[in-house]
Amino acid sequence: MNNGINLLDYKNKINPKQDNSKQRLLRIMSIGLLSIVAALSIIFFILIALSPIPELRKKEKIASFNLSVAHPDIVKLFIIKERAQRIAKLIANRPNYDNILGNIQEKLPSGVSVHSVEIDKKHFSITLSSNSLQQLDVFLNELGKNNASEKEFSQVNIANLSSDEEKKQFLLTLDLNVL
Amino acid sequence: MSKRVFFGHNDIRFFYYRYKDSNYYALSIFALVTVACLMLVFFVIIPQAENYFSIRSEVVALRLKIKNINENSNFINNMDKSVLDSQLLVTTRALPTEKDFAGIIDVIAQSSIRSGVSVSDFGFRLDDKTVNSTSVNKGNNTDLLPISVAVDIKGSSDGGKKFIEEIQKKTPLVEITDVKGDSNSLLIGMNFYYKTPGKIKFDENEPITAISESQQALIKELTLWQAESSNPGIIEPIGSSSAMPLF
Repeated sequence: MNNGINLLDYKNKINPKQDNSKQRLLRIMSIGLLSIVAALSIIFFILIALSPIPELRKKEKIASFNLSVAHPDIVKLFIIKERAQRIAKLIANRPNYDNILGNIQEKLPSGVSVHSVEIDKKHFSITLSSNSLQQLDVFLNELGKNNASEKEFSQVNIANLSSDEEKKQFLLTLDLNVL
Repeated sequence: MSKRVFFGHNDIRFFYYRYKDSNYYALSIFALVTVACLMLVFFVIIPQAENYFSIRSEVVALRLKIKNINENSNFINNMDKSVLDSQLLVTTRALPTEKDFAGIIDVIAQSSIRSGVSVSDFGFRLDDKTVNSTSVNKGNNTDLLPISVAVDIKGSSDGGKKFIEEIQKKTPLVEITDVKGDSNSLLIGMNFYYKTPGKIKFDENEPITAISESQQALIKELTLWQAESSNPGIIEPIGSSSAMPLF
């Protein structure tokens, strides 16, 4: 039974002070949240509005224009570089037939001469003529000895050895594979 | 008795006055504000932030681009234009942009004089297709176009070798493809190359690099070859042009 005029039970009685502080806290939090969101939005808006992009675009246009004046020289430079690259590859890849011919000539002993020659890419065929088999043997030995040290040819084959009775000379045909 | 107890019954205003001082009211307002804030964050703040960061990265990229363009401008402006022109001339003479028949004839004639051989007949074979089978067209050189020339030479003892040696140190550049012959004459097959100007891809954003040292050395060598070609002086043939053995 209630003693006072208040019909509500004492246990269920709400403390108005406590209630007010909770409400105030919730209100402050709401206002705080809204303020943070608004502040962030304003900050980003100002940062975007103050971006230096328009100024940089102007600078870029000016720089591009200055560079466009030098375009003919840039084209020249690019052509030089491209051609130099191609030329370097061309020189590096072309075969040195003069070296091969020179080396063969150097090894020829007296009395041996080149009858015919045929060079095609990596294949080198040479026919030597001499009136002495011994001189041809000297040449072959010299070629073998030199090839062992310098490794100029991957294969050296004797393709033919014949004698010409009329001219009294021997013909030796060699097939060589250039390395 | 009227069913309507007072003004605003069953109305929003009624609920407001009924619950305005309760915790539920404050809690629901807080929940509403939180939801609104979350929506603002997702639909306004995050896009704004993304926009800002994209602008920032664009600014960085633009600054870099301007820096590169300015560096490229300075690099080109500081280059010696006369050197550039002479280097262009040297490289285009070595590897012409079109069929340089005059240059080819000149090279053959000068090489024959210097090596002391006589050139009888020579013929051109034009092939506008790139020849991949030739050794120089291996790798990236597939855009070089060959002009095949066969030269029949007659001359001194080591004239054939010297002719090949001489012609390989002249411009336009040549590749000897095959050599056939006997002691009296030699048939030399060769390819002269030319290259039509290709498209130049230039990105002003990327720094322009100078001609490398190896390329400069190559151009120097080509200049020497060209100087010899253009100024042969008085050259005495090494041997007679009669049909003496080549080897």
